[in-house]
Amino acid sequence: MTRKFALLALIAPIAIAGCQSTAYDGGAPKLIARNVDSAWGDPQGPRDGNAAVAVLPNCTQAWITDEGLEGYGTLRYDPKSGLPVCSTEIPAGSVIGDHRASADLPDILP
Amino acid sequence: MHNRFFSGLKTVAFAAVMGIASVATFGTAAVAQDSVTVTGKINWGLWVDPDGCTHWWADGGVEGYMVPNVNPSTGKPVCLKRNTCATPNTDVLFATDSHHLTASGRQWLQQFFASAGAFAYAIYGHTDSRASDEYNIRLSQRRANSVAEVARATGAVVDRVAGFGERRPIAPNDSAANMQKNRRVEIVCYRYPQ
Repeated sequence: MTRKFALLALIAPIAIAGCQSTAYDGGAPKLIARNVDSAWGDPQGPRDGNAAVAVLPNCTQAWITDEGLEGYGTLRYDPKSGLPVCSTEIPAGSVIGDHRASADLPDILP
Repeated sequence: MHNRFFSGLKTVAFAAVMGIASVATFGTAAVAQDSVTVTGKINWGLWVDPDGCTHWWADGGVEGYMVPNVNPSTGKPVCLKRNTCATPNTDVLFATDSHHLTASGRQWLQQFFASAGAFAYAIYGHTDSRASDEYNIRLSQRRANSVAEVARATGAVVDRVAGFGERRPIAPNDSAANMQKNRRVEIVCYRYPQ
């Protein structure tokens, strides 16, 4: 992991130099995002069936997953009724499970 | 100096115009929007959550986007059939038109909740289309409540109890066999990542 991170630090400036702005310039629509992970060395994106539960302030729940450079969040639904899952037992703000899918980047909250 | 003053004046004038424009927008119907400008494009992918429901996702470099994939007509999430814990037929659990559990129905439920092992449950009652919609809603609610009582008595957490009556059939109500399929209680297991 350490070696991968060091390599990433080396190639990151080059990779950024090769990127294009997604800001609209009046011409053709710009590609803003795509269904492959753009992070270096990890083309997979979020893994099916892999996420942590985050309890929201109003008792409903979100699936959250941290893919390294980006994080994703989306609502948890009851698959049968289509209603949101609302927990009576778990306090708001709680996270259950491991939200980190990739160990390539250290995750720090400043 | 002259240029700075001019550009400053221009900014103020622009702000004044914008102020009037925004009042007009809220007050009356503004100029009709007859076109949109497509400024960007996203190639969406599909992600399956641990319950089997699908979500659209896209990676924007150092940010990501994810939204639920819902049915455009119903608003319900699009899910793979994965999560239902049990769908007992109500003919087994109850007598016709009754919400009182039979002895064997109660026993089956007690055994189910003792062994299912989920953290919490949702319980949904359904009927066939005989009798009125209103009557069926009430009957299915009472039946779902009876099931929830057994669940809670075994120590299970029940997060949601609802009766949908005849409104969510899984088969057309056109034969005895199909109507029997619709008379059911759905028990959904709410499991959490370990």
